[in-house]
Amino acid sequence: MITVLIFFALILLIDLYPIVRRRSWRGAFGFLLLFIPALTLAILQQKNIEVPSLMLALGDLLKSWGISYR
Amino acid sequence: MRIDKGSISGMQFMFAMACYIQASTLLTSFVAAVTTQDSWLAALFGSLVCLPLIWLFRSLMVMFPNQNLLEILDEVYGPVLGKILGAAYCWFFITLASINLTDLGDFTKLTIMEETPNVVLLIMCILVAAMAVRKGVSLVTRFSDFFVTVAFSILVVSIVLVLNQIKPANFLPIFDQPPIKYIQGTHIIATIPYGELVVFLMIHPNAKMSRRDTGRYLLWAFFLGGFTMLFIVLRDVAVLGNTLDMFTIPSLVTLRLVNLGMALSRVEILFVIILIMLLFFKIMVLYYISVLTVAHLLKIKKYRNLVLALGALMVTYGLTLYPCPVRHAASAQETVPFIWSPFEILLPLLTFIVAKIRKLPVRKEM
Repeated sequence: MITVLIFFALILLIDLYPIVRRRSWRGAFGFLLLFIPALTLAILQQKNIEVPSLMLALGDLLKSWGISYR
Repeated sequence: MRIDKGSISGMQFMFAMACYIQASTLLTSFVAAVTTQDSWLAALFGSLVCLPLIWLFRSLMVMFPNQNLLEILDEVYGPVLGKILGAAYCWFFITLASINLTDLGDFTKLTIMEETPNVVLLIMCILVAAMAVRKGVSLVTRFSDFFVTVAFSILVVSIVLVLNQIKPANFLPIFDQPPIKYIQGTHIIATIPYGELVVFLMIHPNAKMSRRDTGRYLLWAFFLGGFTMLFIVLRDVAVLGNTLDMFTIPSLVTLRLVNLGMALSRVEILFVIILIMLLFFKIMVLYYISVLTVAHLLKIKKYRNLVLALGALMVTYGLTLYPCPVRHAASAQETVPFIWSPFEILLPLLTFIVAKIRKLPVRKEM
């Protein structure tokens, strides 16, 4: 867990710090839009919490509509 | 709004596309499990079916030479619908990048680094790719000609080395399967390697090409990549026959069979190295395009500070997509061609038709 947090802290330091210094709020929003889901998924995986697969869910949806080669 | 001002030559663009198709040779196993000894027919039909698709991509590139895919969508559908479709493409590119990243991890773990945790392999790959992505399109595509040449040379050498294992009878019986299997195989080939070339609509404004050259380079890329794929499938069928569907990576098994006395064996390592190189290239291109798409959607001029965050998302998201390679293969055979088709075939076609009806792009009066 510590390794994951250190890793993400490094990303913040390398990329968010220059954005904030530039006062590019749009850039900060874009960064956080990617960073927060990545951190959330990393913590969930670290805690062994199963995250449902989007591709399998979409596949199941298509299969329920009869759109599949199965 | 041009985010990356870097430019590449038409040749570099061509080799990048060819390399991208060659990188998908790992995925021929998806078709092998469906059409077994007739997989070469599926590869051939898939290539033929995709010729009009290449023409479609070429037409969009020629019609909008200075606009990338998101700008084309904005112009054709208007700012609101254009942004919604752009967001959908953003998800498509990130998902594609994440899937290929996990493929690389699984492949490396299966073949040469069995003890290394998957996540370590993915992080290493992303860190190296991030360095290139931060430098822009010219560095991302710089070594594509080298990769294509090496891949082609290894293919030729591998065919020569397995000549003593080739049995023409392995191709028989031909056309022995239900028609739906051929349709499925063709659909897989059309959407998984070839349709994915839609990603190059994001970087074509960076390529210095004339109107006439665009078509020529696209076709050459298609032939270079397509021939490599076709010959790989032909080689694997000629050696493995109808047992092709029993293996996760048929090419690896084919090359394991190379045995010229004590002097030359275990040449599959060559295939492993080149495939890792090609997959890395493909991930790098998809990573770059995903970053560019996010930056473009949010109107961020400096995309470099998004690179590591997107890399982290690709790793964590990729690990959630498929629990194991077997589920990935099953999904790729049954539903993925339907999920990808709107992004790779339907939307570009609809965009082309709407642009023609609306007589776009509007030429500005001087």
